[in-house]
Amino acid sequence: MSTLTSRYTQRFNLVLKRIDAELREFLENIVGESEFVCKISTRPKKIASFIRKAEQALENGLAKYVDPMSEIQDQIGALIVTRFISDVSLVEESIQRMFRRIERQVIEPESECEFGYVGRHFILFLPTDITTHFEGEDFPDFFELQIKTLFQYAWSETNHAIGYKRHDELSPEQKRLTAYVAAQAWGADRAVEELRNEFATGSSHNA
Amino acid sequence: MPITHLHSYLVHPGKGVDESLRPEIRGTTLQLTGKLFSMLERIYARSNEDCKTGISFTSDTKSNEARDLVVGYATRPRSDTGQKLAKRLQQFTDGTPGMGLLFLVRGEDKGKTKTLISRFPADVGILAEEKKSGLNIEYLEKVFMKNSNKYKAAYYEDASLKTGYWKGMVVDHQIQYGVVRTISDYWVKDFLASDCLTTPALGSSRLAKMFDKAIKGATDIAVKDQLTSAAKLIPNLDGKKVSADLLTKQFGLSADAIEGLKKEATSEAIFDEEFILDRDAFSEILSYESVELNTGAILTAPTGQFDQVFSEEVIDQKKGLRVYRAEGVVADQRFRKVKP
Repeated sequence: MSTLTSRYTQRFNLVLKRIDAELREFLENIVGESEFVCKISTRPKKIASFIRKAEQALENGLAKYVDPMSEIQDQIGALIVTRFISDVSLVEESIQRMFRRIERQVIEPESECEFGYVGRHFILFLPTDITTHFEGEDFPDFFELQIKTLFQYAWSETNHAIGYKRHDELSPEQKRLTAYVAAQAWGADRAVEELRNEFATGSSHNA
Repeated sequence: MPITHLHSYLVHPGKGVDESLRPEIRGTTLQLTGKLFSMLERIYARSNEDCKTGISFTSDTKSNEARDLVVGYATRPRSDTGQKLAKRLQQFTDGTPGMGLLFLVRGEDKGKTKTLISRFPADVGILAEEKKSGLNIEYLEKVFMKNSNKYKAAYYEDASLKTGYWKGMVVDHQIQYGVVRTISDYWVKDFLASDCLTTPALGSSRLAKMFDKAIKGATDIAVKDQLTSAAKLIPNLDGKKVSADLLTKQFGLSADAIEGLKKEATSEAIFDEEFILDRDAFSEILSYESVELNTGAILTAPTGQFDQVFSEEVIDQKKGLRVYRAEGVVADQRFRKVKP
């Protein structure tokens, strides 16, 4: 077992699993009772997945991570799934009130003609409510949070399940099929949002 | 952690002044020996206990100008990299804090690097020198450390300078409000481009929950009263830097009340942790105040309005008998499964 594997395995077993459980409870307390949220999950990054990421190289052949234990910031990952698109911003507001961050990304296809992965990603500081329980232990400062709608989540999950590949590795037909599924998820999000608004205001397309 | 490098710069105010017109910053590399070094070494060593407010550089893109300069100095601790930090401090220093002496202290141990940034304000003083012919009195304008406990400091400690140094700890020994202190914006928000690590909403709601549980758990009515009175006053400290520990001193709580609060903190560090109070977040948790009588009657009103909604009359001090009166139109009636 390499030194890195052994170090991460130790961190995984001794610290990350415990932080993961505390973070889930913490998030449940903040947004768990919100009517906007339908799923909260957290996970420590699996050992094989961490090692795979740590071994990634840059285009010039050099290692992407010099010190993977501190540079890989999604060793703890969290996901909040909302029912409606407009709820994503409301959940983000609640998160912003409670966490400090160093990164916020709104991920969506670059061109308006494309359909693909959509979601909001954040690199957040673990709150001191959690970190103070791990004083003197080897733990990361950050975790990654993703906020998605149900349909965005469904798309990304099925994409992973059928064997996620880099977009440029797909055949033209596979690209079309992937885009079709993404477009369905995109359309479904807008359709349910529109229906909700109509039911709330009592208006309708046919009225 | 042993100190490896030490630099100092005299920083004149430069806020709002065109860059080309700002006074030149002069600095020096200090020797790691002598009385000045010993004093700075003490500040450096005790900073882990002294600096109690966690801060983090603000960013949405994993990039922060102030952090780049701190990391730049920690990576290459030279006069020129330190000068860049001094220039940034000058850019945000106006006449209120005035001239200051900036010290950059860097150390290294067991693969970790620690960088302390400290600023001492300039003061005036009188130098009295005894001579054979009599006494020579001189008025001095650039006196520093007349009171060596009056300074601001921030430190960063991490194994990785690439992805670390995002959070640090600060102390501001220059601003005080009773026991409760605050942190000057120009030092944390402007110069260090940072915010308190614990958000005001998180710290305040956590504090309110602590008080809520401690009040509910107190069996002694005097302790309950003390905690309730303190909880009513806390929202007045909106925007001030507080901690549960500081508040117990601010309100002179008894040992039993402090013990009751401490029991509700998830750790000693959380009890001591300093953050900026957000009155709304605090009041969201403690939004209603209730008094329960031994007859089973429960009187409830929005926090802060109880005394306006109910009048209280003590009719037997010895027995603790009281009469409460309320006047109004019935707006609602309801059953509850649990006590409010």
